Amino acid sequence: MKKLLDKNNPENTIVKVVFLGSDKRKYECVGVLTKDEENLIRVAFNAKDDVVVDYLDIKKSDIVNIKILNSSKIKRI
Amino acid sequence: MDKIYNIKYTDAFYVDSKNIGQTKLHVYETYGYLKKNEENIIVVFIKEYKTNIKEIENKKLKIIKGLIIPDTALISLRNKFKSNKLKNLKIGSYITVTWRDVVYVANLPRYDCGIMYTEGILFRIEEDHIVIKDPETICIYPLPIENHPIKKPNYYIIPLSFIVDFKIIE
Repeated sequence: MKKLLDKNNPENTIVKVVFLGSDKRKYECVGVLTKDEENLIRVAFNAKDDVVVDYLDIKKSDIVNIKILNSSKIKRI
Repeated sequence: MDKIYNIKYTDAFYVDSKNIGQTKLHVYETYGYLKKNEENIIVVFIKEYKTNIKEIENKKLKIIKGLIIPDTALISLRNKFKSNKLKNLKIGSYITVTWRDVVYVANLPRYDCGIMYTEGILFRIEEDHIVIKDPETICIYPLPIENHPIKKPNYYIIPLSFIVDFKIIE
């Protein structure tokens, strides 16, 4: 899989990922891509004072679909 | 298709150390699918594929991972909900405070915030939060009623915007 995380980009890379859980059901998550390694990615959901406190590591072999989202389409409240 | 939101909010917290120093509310930032349910904001990080956030609540489906925040926790809105009534309270008073809390949800059909009850000594009133010393806090909703945390901390820091009721005991 092509690397999705550009470490030179100061902006967050927001992704929507469809993946297989350990129960083999399909799940969907959204968050910030913070790690993109050979075998896994890390999607961060929540940060406290800019430090990630909640995330999910997903094996690349479990990814069904991954899409980088245009940050202008994300609503901010 | 569910829209994706970037949400900034604050939360209450407690401190175990005896010397508390300056206090400041933390700012949390999260991404997720969002639904407003009266005064609760449901944020879903992980959901079953092809379910939408409306049906999660309507069909009482489990939230795989997410959180429920009081609308008054939003950074963009919290100034609207500041309570000036507490400003005149005397430091050192023994008070009780009822407040709405952020709830983290994993594999539960849960769609509303927790309600907490804290009693203790009013130690400090800041622009956006109060500090209660020697607090005893219980979660009164949902049942069962239980201490939170189980071991009493030394201080509880509660955003003013979370507080729905308070009383002075002495």
